[in-house]
Amino acid sequence: MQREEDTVRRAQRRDPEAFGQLYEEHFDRIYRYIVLRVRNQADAEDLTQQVFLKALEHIGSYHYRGMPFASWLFRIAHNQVVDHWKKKSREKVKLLTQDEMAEAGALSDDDPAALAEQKLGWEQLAAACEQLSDGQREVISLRFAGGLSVAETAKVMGKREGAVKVLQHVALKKLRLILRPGDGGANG
Amino acid sequence: MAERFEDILSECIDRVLQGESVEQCLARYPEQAGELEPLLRTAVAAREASAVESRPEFKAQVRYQIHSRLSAGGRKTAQKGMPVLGWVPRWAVVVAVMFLVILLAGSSTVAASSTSMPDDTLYPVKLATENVRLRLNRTNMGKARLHVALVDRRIQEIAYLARKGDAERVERIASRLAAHLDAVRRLIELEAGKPGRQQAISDLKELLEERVRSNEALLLQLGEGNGSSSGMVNRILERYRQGWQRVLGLAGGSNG
Repeated sequence: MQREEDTVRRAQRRDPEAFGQLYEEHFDRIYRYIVLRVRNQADAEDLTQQVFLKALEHIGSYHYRGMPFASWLFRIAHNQVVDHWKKKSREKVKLLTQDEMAEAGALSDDDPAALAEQKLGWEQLAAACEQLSDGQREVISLRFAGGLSVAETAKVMGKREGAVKVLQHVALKKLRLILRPGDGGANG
Repeated sequence: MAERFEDILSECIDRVLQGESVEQCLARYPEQAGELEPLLRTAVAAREASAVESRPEFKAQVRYQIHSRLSAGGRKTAQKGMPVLGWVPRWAVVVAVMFLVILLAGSSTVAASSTSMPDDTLYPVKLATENVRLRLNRTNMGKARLHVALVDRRIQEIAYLARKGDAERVERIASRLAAHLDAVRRLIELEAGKPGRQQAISDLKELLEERVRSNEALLLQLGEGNGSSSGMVNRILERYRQGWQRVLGLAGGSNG
């Protein structure tokens, strides 16, 4: 943590090497979080680019004060995603119907180890996440695509860690049912 | 009680994402195992599915933009888009950056990058070089052979990262590995319908079988002796096997 704090301080002094280090460390996680939220790789590239350019522009205003750098960066990403969907909603985004969800690839339920054996693609996961509430979707995206800890996720979402754990639990239960519709939650 | 289960679930998820196997986690909490297992498997599937890779040339492009802005003394050009490349179409930027990386970086850099590992600075150059080689390859069988060679590279990288306990990068490389296998399968499928390609497909099958033996041996050895990462390595070995079996099935061979 101390090492990251030093790196951030150097980046705030516009040290290219320090900012490069932060970029390398967080780029893939930010990209994966965004791609899962916007379900389109071209849009995800544009937004990821904007996140890092905004981070570069505003890094001077970042202060630790209990918020890890990753949480700060993911909050920028979250805001980008929200703006993106606002714009899209003006363009009348088509919501997925149940049939389209099935087509997008809900996994079959005829094999007890289906999730382990059938490779779930990010498009399927993203489509399944559409059926979750905003909070549940955000937790899944931050935890599994962004690779954030519960504490970091809580900071990004402005929630308590306990609330994040509850959302995570409910979201996973729901995701399992969506991805394996015939299961009926016998184990859950 | 409910709160406690959520704490346990969270702890197990963190452990599994760090490379511990689901079974190891379940053994820690036998009373909750029935409820934990499906949720942990869903968590693992979600993590693996979301380990999608950006294009290396895109990553290089953004890095270049940031570097340009920092070098320019932090002048604010955010509203103007790309400071040097301007309003050039996206595809042109991508192609230009890709070739810039490879050509302007110099052949010695490209050569040095070929042995770089995912945590090296030169690794994006290695990936960009691979992409160019794939694009320049004109034939489906040529592309398939190249993908097979790249599978070997990915296995070496997984072994390197697993030894370092870098679970996050291992997942990422495993996704790339799966993408290479899918590409081989699709390319063989394309060729299989054409007359006179049986010999070439059969040769490729032999090459695949030879690679499977050595790569599996490496992953098995790693899975047995790598402590906390063994669960992660064994999962990847399983996915690798399934991938090869799909390819060999298509090639009309034994599912070795």
